[in-house]
Amino acid sequence: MASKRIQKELQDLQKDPPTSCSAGPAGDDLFHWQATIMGPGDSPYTGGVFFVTIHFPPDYPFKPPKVQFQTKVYHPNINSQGSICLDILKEQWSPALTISKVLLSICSLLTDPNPDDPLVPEIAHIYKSDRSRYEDTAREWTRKYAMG
Amino acid sequence: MAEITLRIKPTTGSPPFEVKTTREATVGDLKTEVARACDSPADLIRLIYKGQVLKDHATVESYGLEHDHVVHMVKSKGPPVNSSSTTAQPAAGAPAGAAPSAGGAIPSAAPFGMEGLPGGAAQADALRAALANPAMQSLLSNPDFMRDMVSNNPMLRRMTEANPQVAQVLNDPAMLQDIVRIMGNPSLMREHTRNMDRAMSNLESMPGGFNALRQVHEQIQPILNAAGHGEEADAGASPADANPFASLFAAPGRGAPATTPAATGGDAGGAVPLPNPWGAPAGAAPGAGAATGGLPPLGMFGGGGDGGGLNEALSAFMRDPAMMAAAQQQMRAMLATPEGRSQFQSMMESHPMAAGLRQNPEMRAALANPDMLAAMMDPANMAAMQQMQEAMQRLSGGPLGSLFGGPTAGAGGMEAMLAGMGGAAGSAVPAPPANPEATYATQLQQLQDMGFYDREANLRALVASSGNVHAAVERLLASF
Repeated sequence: MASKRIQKELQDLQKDPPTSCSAGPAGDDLFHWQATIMGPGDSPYTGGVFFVTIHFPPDYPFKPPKVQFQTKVYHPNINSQGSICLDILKEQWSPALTISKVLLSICSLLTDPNPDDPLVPEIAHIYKSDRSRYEDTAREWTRKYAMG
Repeated sequence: MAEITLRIKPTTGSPPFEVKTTREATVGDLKTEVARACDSPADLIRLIYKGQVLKDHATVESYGLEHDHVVHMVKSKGPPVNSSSTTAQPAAGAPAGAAPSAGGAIPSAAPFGMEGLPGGAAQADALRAALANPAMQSLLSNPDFMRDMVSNNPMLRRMTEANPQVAQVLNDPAMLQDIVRIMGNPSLMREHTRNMDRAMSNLESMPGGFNALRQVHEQIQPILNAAGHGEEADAGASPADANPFASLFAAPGRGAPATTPAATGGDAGGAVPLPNPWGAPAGAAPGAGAATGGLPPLGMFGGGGDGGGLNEALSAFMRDPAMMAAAQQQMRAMLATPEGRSQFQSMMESHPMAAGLRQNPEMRAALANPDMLAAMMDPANMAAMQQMQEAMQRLSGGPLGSLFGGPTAGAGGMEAMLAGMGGAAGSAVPAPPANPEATYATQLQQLQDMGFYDREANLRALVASSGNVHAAVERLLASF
């Protein structure tokens, strides 16, 4: 069941991938994917390419995939371990969601951080109090870590 | 060396493009190709496939790239990445800018010529934007303002002075509001136009209908021309050089329907949309109203013979209250003047079905009576008649058809006509029963007792008088 569904998602991604993300199996293991998210043009992350790993649980799609950033990101909802604070990856997961939709949600999270439910309170505080400082730092990190 | 085509998808949102390469080529070669195609240095380009950034020294094959696969492209550093996405829509502000100027033109342009402004969709949009403006709407929904506007426009004023009928239409606040409402609602306007087209084309394909249309045209066109050419400089809209009705009548093959049998005309005509009859400058709306004003009576006299096309148009027409109101208004105006009445009469005479009706003295008298004609125009009566006609058609098409003794569907239509007329005149006459012999058994017996022994003739007389023995006797005596 799980592998069939993952296979299908892979085909769909191949046929018509979203503009700002790309994903595929990292090796022979269908349950372990490598993905990239291109920094949205209207965010300080523009021009950056962010690597993300995806682990599918055996009971996918009834349980959400585990998604983690490999590239360092300066963002209120992404911590230094690369963990992402996103509702659809936790309690709001639905079997109707796909990897493509998850990646697009992460893209919009990059554009619009959610400082009211932060994973990194310091960044959230700066985001709320001093937006330009947040943007400068995010741009700096993107240049440093995501433009290799 | 098999050549494969890859689709390159830039992350800036610019459209994807295709690049040819081979499986054996390195990613570096591929980047050179891509760089040439998108006109930016190869070393700023990063290609991404299945979540991996492609490395220059690896081959295309090693990443499993196949023909028609999609590769993402990211341009690193440098401003081009941003600028192309933010400056892409310079023209977006243009439509909004056009609206105010269109709004400014409205007071000077004839209010009823708006549908016909040349220039098509772009102008329609601008007009729609102008009409959506609340200030504009409140102005347009004010009948006094509209009347002022009409009387202040020399072009329109001349037209109304020369033609009291048109003036009557323009002075009716309900009519004006209908027009404004239609102008303000694009879908309603489109619907309106489509109904008109359909109705006109059906009308034209009936015997006599063409002549009726032409008469309407001849009556209206001089008015339009006089109005249109009168004040070219004054009016914002270009005047009636292109005669909207002329194209309708001059079109090759369109002249024929006058002689085409009704049976074939109904459907064939319905399929072909006519040139836009609304495409006239000032006064087009009243003119079109006159054209459709001729429709309802024709529809009624059309009987069962010419099929569903007309009925469809008629019912579409009846469902549209604005249309009905306009047609009624026009009809009343037409019947209120002697020349209008005579035109209506000649319209009826040119219709073979109507000619058949005139054989009947009662009908002739009824048709000569203006009150009767006015009653016929009552929407409720028209709806009732249409219903009856439909029912008749269903009946005559089915196994019961023979009961009516009418070998042709036209006879069925005639019955419906007569029944409808009776209803309009005030005496409620039910439709003929399915089995007259059983229904009128007692009356038949009465007639027999009175000394009328021709059972066939008695039955006919009873059916004709809806079972009224006295009327049947009158009828039987008259036929002796």
